[in-house]
Amino acid sequence: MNTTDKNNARTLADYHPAFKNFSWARTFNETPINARKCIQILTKIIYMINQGEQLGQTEATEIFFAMTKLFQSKDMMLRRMIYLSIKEMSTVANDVIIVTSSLTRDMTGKEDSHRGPAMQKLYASMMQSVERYMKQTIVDKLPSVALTSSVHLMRQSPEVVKRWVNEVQEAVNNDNIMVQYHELALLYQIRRTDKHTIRKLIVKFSKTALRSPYTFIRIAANLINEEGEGTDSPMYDFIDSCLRHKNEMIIYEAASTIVSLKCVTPKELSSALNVLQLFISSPKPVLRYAAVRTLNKRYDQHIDNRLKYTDGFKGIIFKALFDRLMPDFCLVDNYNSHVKSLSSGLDLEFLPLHIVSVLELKTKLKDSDVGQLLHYLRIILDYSPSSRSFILGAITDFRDIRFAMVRRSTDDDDQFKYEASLKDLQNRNGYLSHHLTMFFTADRSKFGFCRLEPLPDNIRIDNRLLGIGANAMVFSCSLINGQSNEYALKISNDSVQKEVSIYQQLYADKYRIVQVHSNAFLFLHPPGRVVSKENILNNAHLIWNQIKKAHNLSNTLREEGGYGYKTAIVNTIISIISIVEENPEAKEADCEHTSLATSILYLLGREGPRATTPAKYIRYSYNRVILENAPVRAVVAAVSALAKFDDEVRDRATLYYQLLKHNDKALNSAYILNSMNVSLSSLERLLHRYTIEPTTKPFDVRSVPVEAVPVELPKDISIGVGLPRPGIESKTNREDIYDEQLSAIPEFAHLGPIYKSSLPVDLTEKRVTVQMDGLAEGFEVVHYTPCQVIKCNDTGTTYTLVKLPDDSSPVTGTMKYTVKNCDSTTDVPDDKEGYADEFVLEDIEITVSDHVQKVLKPNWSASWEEIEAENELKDTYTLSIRTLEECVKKIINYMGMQACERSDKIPEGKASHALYLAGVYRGGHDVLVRAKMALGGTTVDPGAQAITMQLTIRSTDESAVEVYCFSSRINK
Amino acid sequence: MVLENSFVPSLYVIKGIVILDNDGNRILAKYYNQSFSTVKEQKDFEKSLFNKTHKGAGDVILLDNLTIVYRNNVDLLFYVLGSTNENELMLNSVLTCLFESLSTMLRKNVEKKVLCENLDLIMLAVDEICDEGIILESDPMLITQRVQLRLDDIPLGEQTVSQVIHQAKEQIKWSLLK
Repeated sequence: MNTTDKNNARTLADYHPAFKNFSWARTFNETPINARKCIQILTKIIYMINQGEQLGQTEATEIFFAMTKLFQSKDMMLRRMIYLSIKEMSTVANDVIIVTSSLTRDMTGKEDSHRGPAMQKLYASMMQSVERYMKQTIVDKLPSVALTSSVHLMRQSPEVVKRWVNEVQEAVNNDNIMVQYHELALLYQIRRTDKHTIRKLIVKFSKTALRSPYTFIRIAANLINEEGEGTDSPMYDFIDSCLRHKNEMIIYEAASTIVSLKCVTPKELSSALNVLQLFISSPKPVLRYAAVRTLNKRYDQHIDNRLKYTDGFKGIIFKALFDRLMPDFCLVDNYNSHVKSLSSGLDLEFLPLHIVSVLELKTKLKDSDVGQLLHYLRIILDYSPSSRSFILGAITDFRDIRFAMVRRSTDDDDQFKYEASLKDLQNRNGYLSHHLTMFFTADRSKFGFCRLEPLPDNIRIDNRLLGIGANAMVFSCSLINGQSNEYALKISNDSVQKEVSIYQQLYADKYRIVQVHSNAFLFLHPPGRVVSKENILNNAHLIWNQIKKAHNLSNTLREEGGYGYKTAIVNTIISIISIVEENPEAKEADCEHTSLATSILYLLGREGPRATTPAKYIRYSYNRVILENAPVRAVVAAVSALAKFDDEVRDRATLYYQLLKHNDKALNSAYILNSMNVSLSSLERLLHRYTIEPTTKPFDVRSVPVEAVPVELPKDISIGVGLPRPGIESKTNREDIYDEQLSAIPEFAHLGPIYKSSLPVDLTEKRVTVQMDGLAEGFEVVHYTPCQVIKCNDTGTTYTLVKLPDDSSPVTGTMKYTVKNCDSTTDVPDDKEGYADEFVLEDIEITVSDHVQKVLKPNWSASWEEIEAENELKDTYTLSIRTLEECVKKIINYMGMQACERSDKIPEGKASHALYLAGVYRGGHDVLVRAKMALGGTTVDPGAQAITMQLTIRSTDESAVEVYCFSSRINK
Repeated sequence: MVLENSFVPSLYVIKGIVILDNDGNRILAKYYNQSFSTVKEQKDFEKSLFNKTHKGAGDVILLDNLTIVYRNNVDLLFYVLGSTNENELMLNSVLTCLFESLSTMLRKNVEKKVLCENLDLIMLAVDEICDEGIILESDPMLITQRVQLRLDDIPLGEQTVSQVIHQAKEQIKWSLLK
């Protein structure tokens, strides 16, 4: 017997060392049988099979044969183990008939405890021949086993089992609950097709208080659904009666069955819901879980499957929901508030459920939508525990946000009374509702990430909701200036002071609890548990997904609503990116980051031209080109993004692309960092003129007026970036206006375009226009155009062309004119001759600042180095000016140049300062001035404070330096 | 096969009973109704199940479209698997029954070492509780009774000395009490 099958390489000895030391066969063959040893061996065999090891067929059959010997033993334990082994091995071994005969003998025997198991095992091997015994056993003392075996048999040969109906029915009278349970199920299976009988059965059993109605609940529900019966049927009454059963399992089964029935009205539903709500507050987790799941099913059915719950029951539920937040209807609730939040490890057990928020995104808000929202809220409140008194919701189309609240109270008759309100919210629940809804429905400029204004500015809430608690929500958040940056923030609509002190004791070792607001506090992870970069990127991707979804939606719209959408989308992405940028860790070369940026650039390319401020996005793309650490990829992406804007931008993109390809630092600095600062409109005008005139001369960019430096605006603080900066484009250049006027005069045409126009100087009182024709010393009047007639209350223009002198001195002008009286009605002069008059005009001073254009050099020092000391002049001055501020102001005014690198701002309490100025001298020469000044010089007047200043001037043109130096000396 | 419709009443409630140790190794695993066709699938499932549950104190989770009630005790994890539309309370009653009956049989020492020594008892108990997915019995008392044989039934010759002495003591005690 100890032979092993050579074909089946694996034997028991291979699996376990125990089989090597002694032969199982020998043990089985011992007389008298050593039951304990045999049990051990059998246990091991079963364990092997259970571990997933495959027994060789031959060996299994051998064991089978050997086991028949063991039937001789009277040991009950051994007998049971034999049964078990047979069951496990019956699928493997051949010739199970041998054992079956032994089993049959056991079944017919007198020992009850043998018969049951023997029967149980039999069905697995051979059934038909034992039908006779089966019948007998069903009515016997151990019907349960026989019944289940019959159920198994039903699968294979239903007609055999059907013959046992009478015997089965008798078993109902058995005292054992389980027997009833099995019996009813079997009975139903046999009689399945015969609905009438089944119905009769149920009616019959519902009258005699059934001890195990479990199976029947489902049977009854099945009948109701199949037959389309209403709740008036006796079947429903039966299920309803089960709600009052004393066993929780039955109550739950009945409740969940009612909830899933299609025909139930809300009123009838309420009893089942009450039961489930009771379960939710049960201390048993399984009960809570079961109740919640059933309620979820109901939500799904009720709201057309638009409400989605995820299967991930723990913690993650919120994240998954938020993933779906954007385009769809979404419901947030905290059924899992008893579970510890996985992401934060915070114990949310303390927070029972109270707030539910619903957000729906619409393409265009209609009044009926708000009605719908209220309806949803009401439904959800219906299913909420009675302790929840109100529910909040919001609905938005990105333009408007409507809030809604449904409140529930009990009236005198203890009936629930519902109040819906749209406006109440802001006042009643002030703080939380406002921010809660703000969070869900963030406006266009703050879409995605949004700050709670009343909270400290450095807290930024991620879009991850960790949980909702008693009138409170817990968010994941980050501190902008902190060292570590992932925290949990709990915002409550009550004061949290008490709670903070409790938590401080509870979590002293785990978190630092910091109250940041009367209604909010932070859980801070101890340092070292930083989750920053990943977290932020994770969130960015999350939002990105949402946006993509939203975008797909908006593409199909192509209407007004879609517009706000897109702006919001682009804004969000930029916010995300800027957030990522802000985080120093995220700046590391990061594949995710780059791919994100690339995809965003792509989106910019698609969306940019349609957005309100395309310039902003061009600028943004072009920043990426410069800053991106994986330049090639970014350049490709950026260029493709830019190419989608209009022609002008395409040209610009090509230029940048070419420049970057050269990878020349000087080129980069000249054309990209310090961009060409000419006035675009003037350039266009001049180029136009250039193309009309037939000329071979190359076009001189220097003749184009330099772009006026925009007035520094107060920085807008919002993180949203949708606002167009009131800007350069909208303002018409002063040069352009004058150029237009001057080019109309033929005498001036040969002069070429205007280089610079100084600010208007009032020569007389305002609103009087003058002509200048006088000869002044040093000035040569080249030409002047007199003004023919100026009518009363009218204006006229006269021009005078003056050649520049070598030195500057004031120009004196006299206005000569002839006054004629006019008829007030006809406007025709009454006299032929008027009288001549003269008017001495105020002097015009032409200073050095009139020769120079302000130019902002973003990178002043680089330009300074570029020019080098070739044309450099240095001089030291002592100025009797009291403060540095005043000095700086005066110098800027006098020089007429632009202060760069914010050097016009002087940090407080400083005794010295360096001012950097930049300008373009007439003729297109760059002029740079560095003025180093210090307090405490000595002047002629010993009492006065004075400033010592060292002036260094550099320029590409020698004369410019000299002029500057010279004029400076004069004006000392 | 049995229809997976929540409305079709079926006795096939349980999809599996699994006992794992605290390293995630299988001690005993019974799957019914071919929920997993190969051993590899079973082991993979157990692995993910273990990863999800070994920290919790005992609860209920959803995994691979199965509702799983589980219980964590010392160095053992007990699981009862059922389909998602199954009555969770029923599964829980099976789990409770399994645990309670083991606890009684192992004299409250429900831990890996003791469990492995009495693996035969455990196998029998599982077999008594569930037959191919049908709940046979959910009363731990009955299960214990059916599995654990009275000591007197064992022939004297096969008892150990301590057992005999213990039995003798008991008999003397009872005779004195009478």
